[in-house]
Amino acid sequence: MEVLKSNLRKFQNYDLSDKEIDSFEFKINDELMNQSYENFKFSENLSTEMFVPGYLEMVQRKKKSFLENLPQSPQIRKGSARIRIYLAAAASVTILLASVFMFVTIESDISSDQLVSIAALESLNLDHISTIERGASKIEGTNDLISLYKNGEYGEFLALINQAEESEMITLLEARGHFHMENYEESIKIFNTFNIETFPQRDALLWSLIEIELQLENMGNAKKYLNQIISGDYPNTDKAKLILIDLN
Amino acid sequence: MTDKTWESTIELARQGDEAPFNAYVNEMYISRYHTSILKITEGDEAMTREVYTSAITKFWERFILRAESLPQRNINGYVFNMARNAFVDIKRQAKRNKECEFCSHQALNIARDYTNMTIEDKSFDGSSYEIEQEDYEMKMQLLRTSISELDEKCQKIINRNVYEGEFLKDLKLELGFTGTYQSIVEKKKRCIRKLSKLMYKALESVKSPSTTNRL
Repeated sequence: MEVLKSNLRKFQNYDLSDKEIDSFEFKINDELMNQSYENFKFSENLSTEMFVPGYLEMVQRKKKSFLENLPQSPQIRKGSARIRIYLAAAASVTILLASVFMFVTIESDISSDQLVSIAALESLNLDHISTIERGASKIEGTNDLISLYKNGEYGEFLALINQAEESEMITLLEARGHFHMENYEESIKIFNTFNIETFPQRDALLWSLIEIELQLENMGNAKKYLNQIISGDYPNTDKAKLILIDLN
Repeated sequence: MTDKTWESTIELARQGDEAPFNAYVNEMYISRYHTSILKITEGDEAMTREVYTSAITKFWERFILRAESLPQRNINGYVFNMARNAFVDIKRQAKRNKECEFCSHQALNIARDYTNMTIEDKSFDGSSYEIEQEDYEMKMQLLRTSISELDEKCQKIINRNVYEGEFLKDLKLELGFTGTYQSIVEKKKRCIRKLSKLMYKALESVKSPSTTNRL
């Protein structure tokens, strides 16, 4: 019963993990289970409304506002305002030329490889994940590991990887650790387990793959991933454009 | 970097300036989530918007309105996971009978009606809400029964503060709370939580007593 209620509450908060949601979806397909959840939600809503009158309406209003203000997707905008594409294309040419000029000016200071490394590190967002709250020993182990990675102590980092909380981010870092230790095959093998378009930290994955492919001088693959960064409009798209120009 | 933007816009929103958060939510829809969620919804554009909006509304409700602690994992990934939950929730709701479309408004209506009526009042008329009268009255009755199962202090707090609108501070000494004002506020919270549990139990017993053990 306790497990049931905690799962119902987590689902009501949209807090079920990736693994939990699949199992929950299967169970909630049952009509009686669905009714159970509806009862739970009803009880929670009723008591919340009694505690804070107007709460439910306030949330509904906010949802309506989010929906009304949400921009149209890129595809729809493309179809409805074709003329903007031509204007954007003209602007892009200008930006591209400016980028070439900029790149020429920064070329002596920073290489494509360095730009890729910067983008890859930014996409990993290490500063955030290393500030997670201390508590259980596994979490402390995670923080220590991230510190090892940030300090470039990749050998020790990989040796102690089992001390960390299992997470996608830690596995990404593990793959990057192998890359830094020049175990490219192992690194690519791990990265490929995440190489699906729905992976939430896809930009971190793509930048890491670009880094490896450049290291291995597989320019075709590097360009392919750079184009995926650009077409997906991920963070650091501008850097991807600069690097592509350099590779061409 | 993006997590820092989440954190800074959330902090501003908690202080009352929601514009940066709203703008960031829109920016992230286009730059990060649209394509991923569109895959989940198998290309259904309207559903994609609904899923993202539901997830972001829940995110706003939890981390801005209720000021819950931010998730310890990467926020971008967390929002995507919330979208997966939202998609399951939307599909779940779609499966329910159309006659239950009013259900989401029912809790609000019952709460309002309860707070505007005496417990003994038998003249309740829910027909103005265009909902099924029988179901509505059954739930109202379950609410009354659940309240009657609370301890005496809880019943007094709910009836006199929630229903009659008396201030908690005026009830504090009368109900025997000698500590700080916060002590009676905490008691009220516990009463409401208890009421929610009793109400859920009552609803489940009406449906089928055995189903809850199967989840």
